Amino acid sequence: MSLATGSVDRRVVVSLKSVCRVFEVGNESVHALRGIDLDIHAGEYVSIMGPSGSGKSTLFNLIGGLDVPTSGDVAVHGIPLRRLNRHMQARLRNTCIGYIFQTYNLIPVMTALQNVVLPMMIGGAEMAVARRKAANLLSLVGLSDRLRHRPDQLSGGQQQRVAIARALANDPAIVLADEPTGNLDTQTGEDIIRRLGEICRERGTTMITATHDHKMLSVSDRVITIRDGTIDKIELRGDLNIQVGVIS
Amino acid sequence: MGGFLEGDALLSELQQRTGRLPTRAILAMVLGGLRVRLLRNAVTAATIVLAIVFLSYTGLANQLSYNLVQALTALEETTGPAEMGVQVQDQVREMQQLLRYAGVNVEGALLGNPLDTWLIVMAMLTCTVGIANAMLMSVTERFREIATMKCLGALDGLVIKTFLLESLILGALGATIGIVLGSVVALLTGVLQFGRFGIQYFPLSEGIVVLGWSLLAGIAVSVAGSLYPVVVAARMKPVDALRVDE
Repeated sequence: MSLATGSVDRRVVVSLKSVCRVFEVGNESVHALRGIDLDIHAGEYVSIMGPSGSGKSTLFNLIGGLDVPTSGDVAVHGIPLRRLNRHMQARLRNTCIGYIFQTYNLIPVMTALQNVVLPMMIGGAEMAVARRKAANLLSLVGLSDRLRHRPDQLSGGQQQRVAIARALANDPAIVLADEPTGNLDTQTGEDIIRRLGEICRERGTTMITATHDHKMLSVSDRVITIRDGTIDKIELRGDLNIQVGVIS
Repeated sequence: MGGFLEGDALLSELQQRTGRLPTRAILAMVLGGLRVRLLRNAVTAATIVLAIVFLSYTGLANQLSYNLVQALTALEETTGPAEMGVQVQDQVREMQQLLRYAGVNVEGALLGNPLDTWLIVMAMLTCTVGIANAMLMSVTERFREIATMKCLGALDGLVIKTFLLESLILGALGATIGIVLGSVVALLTGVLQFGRFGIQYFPLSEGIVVLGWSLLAGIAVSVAGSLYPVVVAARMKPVDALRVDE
């Protein structure tokens, strides 16, 4: 359910059915996920929360097509990821999914503009068109005066904003944000969370975050808590009692 | 741009061949990277420089010795003792003496001695291993960058091209410096050992050939050394771009 429109968009963009993920570590098998069933709808802002070792990261990786389940199916836009060869996977990552990382992961030798242009060029766009669009995206996140700065000339918050612009470069339907505020102070983190919420509302982009940050709750439509490889609870925005320092 | 398509429409969109960058863009990225990690790359290139100095010097020095021996033999054979001028006699004696001091084996001057060949082979192998080590370190340090590129939709081929181009440029740069230095050293030792004959008989056209092969050898060594690290880079999974903890 999208916050802004109030209408229910039930199109399922990501669907997990009986997903299990087992890691072989030495002689041991680690059951990171034990049977996950989950549907994420278009335009939703979903936050995945859970303690360390809960399987949160594994779930996140599977949703983003970065990992393959041991059993079960992950489908994006109705396509089971199993059906995709490496070329198609790469194209999916390029056009349908935008990634935001805790460590920003900008290419250090490139300027902010070049970083945002990069996924567009990989997608086959023309340089001139790509540069214009990248400049627009960067001014959208308030960095129009930093186009030619390299990552080492930008603060953490600025780098993350470049990362947001980059994630939106090819107009993806889904944005995956892995601990986007993990390396940021409270105020900067709040700014980033606000921007992510805006993107979700204004562009209808499905936002999926994995996070420890409870500030994220204020923009989330659903909060999915993972514990010991299964979904512990799913809370809707209305159910959440957000007081200072308290989640009920 | 394809972000909101579904089902079969999306499938056919995904068939489009992308995941690559135009060569100019890759080149710009590689050159930028080399500049940013200048010191590290200078050290790596130094390995190639040293090996190619040795290679080109040996080649040129051997060619010089051969030229001298040929010239001496020609001088000794052309004129009989009666017509041989005093100057020519002096020159022949001088050259014989210099060649002997230089330890040049008159018979096998061009072949060089087996020790030289062995040293050259070892130098090239050491260089290759050194390059492999440096490139492997570089690849493992840049795992996040590589994995991020894959998250952005880059195919493995793009990653491979990036690193191969890097080693190609380093190899070409290092080898170029190597052949220049090698020529200078060869010229200097030629003059030291043979005086004016070292300049007179210094190989020119043969020298170009020697330097050409040395340049190629430097590039070949650099590329060969980076083959394994490139495979490592290509195999990296996009999931490595995410945090390692938890």
